[in-house]
Amino acid sequence: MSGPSPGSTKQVNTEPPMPEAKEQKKSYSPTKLIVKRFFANKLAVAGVFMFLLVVIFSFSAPLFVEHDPAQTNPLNTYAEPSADHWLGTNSSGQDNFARLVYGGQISLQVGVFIMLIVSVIGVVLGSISGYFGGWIDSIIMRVTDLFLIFPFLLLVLTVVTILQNVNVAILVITLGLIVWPNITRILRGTYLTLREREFIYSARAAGATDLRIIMKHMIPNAIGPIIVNATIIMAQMIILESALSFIGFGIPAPTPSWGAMLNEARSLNILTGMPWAWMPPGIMIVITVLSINFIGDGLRDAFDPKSSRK
Amino acid sequence: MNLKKWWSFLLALTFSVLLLAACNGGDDETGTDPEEPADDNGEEPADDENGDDDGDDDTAGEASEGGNVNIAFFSPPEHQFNPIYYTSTYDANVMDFIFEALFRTDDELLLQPHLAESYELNDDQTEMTITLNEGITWHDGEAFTADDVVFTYEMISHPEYTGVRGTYADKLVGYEDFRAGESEEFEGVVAEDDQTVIFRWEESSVTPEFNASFPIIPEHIFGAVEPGEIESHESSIATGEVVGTGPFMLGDFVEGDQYVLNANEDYWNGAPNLDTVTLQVRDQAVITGLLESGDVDMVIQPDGIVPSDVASVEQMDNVTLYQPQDLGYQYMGFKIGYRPSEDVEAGVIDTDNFIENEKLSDVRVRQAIVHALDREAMVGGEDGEGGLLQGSGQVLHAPFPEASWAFDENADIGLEYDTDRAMELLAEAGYEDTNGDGFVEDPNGEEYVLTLAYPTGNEPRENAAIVIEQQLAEVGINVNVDTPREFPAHSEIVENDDQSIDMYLMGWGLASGDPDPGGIFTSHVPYNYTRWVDETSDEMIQRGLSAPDAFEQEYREEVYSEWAEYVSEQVPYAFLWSMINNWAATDRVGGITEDPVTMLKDPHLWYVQE
Repeated sequence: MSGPSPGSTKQVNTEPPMPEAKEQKKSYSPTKLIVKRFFANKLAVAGVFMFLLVVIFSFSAPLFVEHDPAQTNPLNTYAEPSADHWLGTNSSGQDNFARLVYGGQISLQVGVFIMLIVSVIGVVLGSISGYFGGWIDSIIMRVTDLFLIFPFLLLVLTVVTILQNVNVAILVITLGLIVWPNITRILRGTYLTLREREFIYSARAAGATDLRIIMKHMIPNAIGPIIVNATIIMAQMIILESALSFIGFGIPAPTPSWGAMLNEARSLNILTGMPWAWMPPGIMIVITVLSINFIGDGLRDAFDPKSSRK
Repeated sequence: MNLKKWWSFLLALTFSVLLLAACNGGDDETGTDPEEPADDNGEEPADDENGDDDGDDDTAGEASEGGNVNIAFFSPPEHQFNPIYYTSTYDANVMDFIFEALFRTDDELLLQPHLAESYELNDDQTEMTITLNEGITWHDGEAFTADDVVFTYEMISHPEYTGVRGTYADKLVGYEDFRAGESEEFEGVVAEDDQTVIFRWEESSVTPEFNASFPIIPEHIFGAVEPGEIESHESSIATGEVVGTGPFMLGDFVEGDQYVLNANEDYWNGAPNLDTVTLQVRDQAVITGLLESGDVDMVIQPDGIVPSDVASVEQMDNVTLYQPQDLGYQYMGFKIGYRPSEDVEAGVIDTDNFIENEKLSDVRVRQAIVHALDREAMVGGEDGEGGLLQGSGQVLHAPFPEASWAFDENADIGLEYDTDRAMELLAEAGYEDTNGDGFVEDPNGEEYVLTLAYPTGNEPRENAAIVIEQQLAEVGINVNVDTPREFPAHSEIVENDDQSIDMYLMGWGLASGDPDPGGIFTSHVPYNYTRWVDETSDEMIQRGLSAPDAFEQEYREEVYSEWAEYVSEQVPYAFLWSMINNWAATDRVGGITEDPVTMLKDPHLWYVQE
């Protein structure tokens, strides 16, 4: 989303609408407008702030967490909060606070990396499909149909069960390969409309290659939907990872995870008697996902000129 | 206000999560349990006892007729509802309602006649003449006769039989010939007339009642089936087709989730008060919640409620806990050998073909592993503080828990928690850290990694897997813990000698009071999952059953004590712990018979009081 590409600049400059200049100030570039609109959105700014807090909290863990989150201690299970164990210990004697902090790293990594994988696949396939159309479009769209008709969670559970010995990398790649169809379809739709715009015709008339048109003209103009969907996917994936860990299909013990911490609360005893064990991970999930969603909403509003002025 | 919203959001989140767990409880999950192929030796026919001695039915005045009782346990059955082929305790929980044997244990673990009315032994205990109760019918109305008994024993001795129950029959006269297919007649079990059956043993039998206590299957159903096909026949697995003599019949079920049992109105010991019993497979962690909400009326073997919830359950006014010391135990098995895959396919156990697992064949390595495990810490203090078990159990050094008469409290056996000794033993065996990565390499300098497999379901056992990994890492043994499997999948890779695993967690649920370890530890028996071949041990086990000395319990106690010492040094298993069971029932169910090995005795006496 760095500076406007030549294509979009040209579009803005040639089409006359902006310079109405009711305002005295000179007009902003599209990027600046987007940034400005984004920062005018208080929820979005709060989201950025909360998200940064979560990131800092999770990744600075080694600085202030003494315990190894995986280290069990059978002699000290179900401990109550104390100076040593701020949030007590779980049924294996692992320190809940260490698990909370390090679990954040896992959740964020899962969210970010899946988002990256899905965005890359989605952009590439969506571009090809939407730009070229024809048989290649049909093939790609039928493949997305194939993925979309499976009950999503069931498919994930099946794949994770078959794989055995899942780790973060495997989980990320697996989920990435399962989740890409949605964003692909959305991008294809965006491309279908972009393809018929005048500036694309003119680029083509000027002799630009397909690759150049896609890279220089279409992607920059589709950046809004791409970023917005990427944030949504990131939030979804953090929830999904927690859900999988909760039902025992996530990253296996002893790797800490928020979902696995919530899993302990299935026990009546912990649910009713030890809120310190399961409330913090629950709250962290909520904060993280909410902040990402706020950011996503803010970005959507910022990218969409129609919703900019309310 | 804002805060309130947050809370309700959180609550909603929690509940949806709980719901998810509840729905999935059976199949996915996690969970599972311990379990074990049930028994070893014993099986458990439990069902009714001669109800006569305890007064038959209803003791309770306000018994209302009809109704349903929901029962929970934590791992799915393997779906083999034929007594001659099942192996898991979870299947046994279903079959306990359906099948019965000639004898069953009373509350002092002594075997008493059940389908049998009476029996006589000759002087040297080589022959037992059993008279059957009259008027017993199968679920489909056919009469139960001595021929069914003969047929059952023929089937577990048949040349084509691939199950694990041969140990009930292998000392009978003519077993070898019959098993080899050289004889059509099985002289060991003979029907004298419809009500009389005679068992004959080659040598004096020390445990004749036990040997005759195998659950009986119907000849009129399976007689028409090829013996090799019984295991997959619909009468071994399908609703309405499983036929036994017990108080309940298998009704509709959702595999891995719930099993409905319908009352057998013609039950010979009196028609059940209930209409149905529903067995539900539920994640152990949520069972307590279901008990409190009334969705579950009883929590049964194995183990019952998770130990950390016992304190909460004690607070519930309407719930009664039943906490007998378990006769079974949990252990970590060492795969000392594997059957070759041809033998696995053919269902053959041939000790000569076992493939040695070099990673664990050195006894010093196994001893080192046991020395490295802090089992006291796993069990926790008696006061319920700490431990994976919260004190609900005892550390075990040999396969005789305190509840067994073979348990020798004075014996000084077992390998204590001693990491220095563990490292010494490893060094002696040539396992040293040669590349400085913190883990030992094997004597050839190759990387040494042991793979540990464990099932879901039994929460303390699940937690133990990671504890074991870390405790072994302390002494330099690198353990790769497999992602846990559902119990049926786990049990399959153990039974079928999957060579990718070196160690596995499992348990044995023993429903018989007789401590004879032969059914599990003799080298050639199918239940010898570790494929531990040891003549000294085999000889001792046999000595424990050799007449006439073995007629004296004291003699057997001595032999078993000696054997316990031997086995605790040879360590085919790292014995972990024996539980105190935490079974429970709500006040809604009346008529439950208290028993040290099962919650499922005489279910026809149960009734619902609203």
